[in-house]
Amino acid sequence: MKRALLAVSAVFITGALQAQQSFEGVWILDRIVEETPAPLTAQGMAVQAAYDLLNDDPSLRCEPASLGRIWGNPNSRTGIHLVDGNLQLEHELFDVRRTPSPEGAGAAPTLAHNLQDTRFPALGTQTYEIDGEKLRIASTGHSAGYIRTGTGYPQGDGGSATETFWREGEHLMLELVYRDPVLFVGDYRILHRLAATGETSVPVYNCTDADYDWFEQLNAEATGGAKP
Amino acid sequence: MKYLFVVAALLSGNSALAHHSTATNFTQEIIEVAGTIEQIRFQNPHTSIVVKIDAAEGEAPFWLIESDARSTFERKGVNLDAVAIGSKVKVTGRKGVRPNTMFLRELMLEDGTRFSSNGTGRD
Repeated sequence: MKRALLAVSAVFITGALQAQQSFEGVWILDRIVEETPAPLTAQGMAVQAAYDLLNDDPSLRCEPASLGRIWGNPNSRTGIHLVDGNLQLEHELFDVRRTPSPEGAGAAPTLAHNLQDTRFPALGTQTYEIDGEKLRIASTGHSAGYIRTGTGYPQGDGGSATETFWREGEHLMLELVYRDPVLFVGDYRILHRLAATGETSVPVYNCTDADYDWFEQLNAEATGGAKP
Repeated sequence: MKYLFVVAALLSGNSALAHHSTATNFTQEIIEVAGTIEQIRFQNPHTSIVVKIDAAEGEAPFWLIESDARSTFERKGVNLDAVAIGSKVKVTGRKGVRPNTMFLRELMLEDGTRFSSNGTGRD
């Protein structure tokens, strides 16, 4: 009887372990392994030239500029989980939550959002598929803006992005590829290496707007000048 | 002398992609200001310390010292809420693109306590 119970338990435990996909867990950026310079068209270069980092960065409003912006952020966690067969991504940065629809399921696409349910159209609508050991998330319909807020690499509303995840030993690799027929002449590719944190949940970020208005107001009041 | 270091991502390659880009919002020029702590915003995505200097007539008296996220500091076991408002400080850091801003390299209190980006420890 004991042997039978042990055998049944072993089957359940093995099943549970197999159900855990290799990409699941809480991850943190280990390093950017490779990044191709964005292959900008003339129009792409014009949009980049117009970028004003002091005003155009959505981070100043606690909003993610792009998928590239989220994944490139140092020291912040991302949880990737399958819950009842549905993919859920929890990004610590700006408390972004994503629930891509299964590819081909015909489900209505949902926008990424934060814990206050503020929607983030810059991240587009997303579908996912699990292909063997790889997880692939495809997104389209990003709002126009900037993929990289440091360099001002532009993001068009006619582009697409693919995030492909796979394991390499203890690390989770992420290849993020942007394609845009108007702004890029070829693929813009960033390869990330993520490390497991061993945590089971992602802490709440509680972002406070990082704009400079309040500070400029301090000096304006002190000097009797108008706020710039 | 107490010597408290705080690890920050300031000098790491990753900082080029930080919340608002450290690489582009701050120059490589190292500057120093001295004054009193007026305000500390220990929060995400950036911790900010406002320092008031003895400014000349018409000169802006407040400096905004920016640093890493609260969550980054907390993972290093550092609580900036413990620093008293009104403390006299000397601060060095990378001069910002915006007027009167810098990215923290080292903050020294009158009692010798230091916050810097070089490592963790106390002596």
